[in-house]
Amino acid sequence: MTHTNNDERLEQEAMDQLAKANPVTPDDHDPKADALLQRITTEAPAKSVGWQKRAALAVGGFAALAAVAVGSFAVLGGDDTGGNGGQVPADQTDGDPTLDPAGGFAGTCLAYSTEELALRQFAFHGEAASVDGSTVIFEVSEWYVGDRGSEVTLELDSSLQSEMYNDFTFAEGDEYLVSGDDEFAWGCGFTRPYDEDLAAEWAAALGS
Amino acid sequence: MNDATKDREFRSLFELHYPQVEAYARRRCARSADADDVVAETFTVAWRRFQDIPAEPLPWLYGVARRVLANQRRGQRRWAGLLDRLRREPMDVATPHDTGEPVRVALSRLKPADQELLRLAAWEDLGPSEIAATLGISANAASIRLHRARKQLAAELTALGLAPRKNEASAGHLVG
Repeated sequence: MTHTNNDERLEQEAMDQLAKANPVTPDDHDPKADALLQRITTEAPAKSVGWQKRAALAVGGFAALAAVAVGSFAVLGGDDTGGNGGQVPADQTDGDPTLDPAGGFAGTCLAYSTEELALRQFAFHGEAASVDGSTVIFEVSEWYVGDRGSEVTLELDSSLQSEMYNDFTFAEGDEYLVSGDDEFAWGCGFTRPYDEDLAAEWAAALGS
Repeated sequence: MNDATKDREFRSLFELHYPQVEAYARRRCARSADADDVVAETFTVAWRRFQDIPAEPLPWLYGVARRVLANQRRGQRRWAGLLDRLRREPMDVATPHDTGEPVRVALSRLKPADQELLRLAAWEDLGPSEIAATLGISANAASIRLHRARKQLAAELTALGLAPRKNEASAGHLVG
């Protein structure tokens, strides 16, 4: 198929329309900026805290609400406003996070169950062919749901990116049972090292 | 790097790029409070990992913001899912800017990954190499995906009857 000048023009017009539909233009005088800069540079605790933990805690308010709703969360983070503005209270930056039985960070983990597993967009058994920071390429042996081909590249959920929150780390050549949504592999028990019994449980739960 | 140097350089980075990161977040969040959280978290990460920030920091910052946003949305989806099951009725998680102007309707018909690629190009004004750095993919892959996504957006606009009809006389001309 040839790419014509007309095609190029249509594509450029489409991009121009999209650019015009930009809902926000940068504001050089946002009064919130100064306060945020001050907060970050003066209040950030000296002890190094993984950004994944703080990212996870940023959604602590949602976890708290969900915990109220179904009683399935252990609540460690968040405030009563449902958001913490990216700030982590000092008392949440020290100590070890609580691991739930599924190997996830209890503060933001949705409790693992086969019912919750069945709600994920994809689930498969595969080998980690490449591990590059938070990006892992899997060679898939078996899709339980959401077939995306023999190889899939995924970003690791924040709970999967830190040894603090998991009892395993990803290693090239190792096999895993992986589930998640969009381009993210979920932690909290929804992604784990391969286990034959667990694989059978996933196959049964996902009807494959 | 001593603390004073880090503080000075971080302030410079913050002042230079806060407007862009803030706009990035606002373009993708339905609620300003959510955008504020994304911006705050992104720059907190930048402060923590200051030594990891590359010479061209903006794509790196967008990449961090993108992950923070994904975490936020995942949390919202989980929360919405739980409430949905309790209520037994549908509940939308905020997905801003997918209705309204025709081009946004066309955009919403593309795969989410392609939508983001086009937003980065059209709204953040990033080139393929900067998009690649933001998304953590190769520049070649970014160029190919951007080319494909542009075609798809134009096709969707045409399908919606919102693009000029093709000029048959020019059909067949190769670009370049």
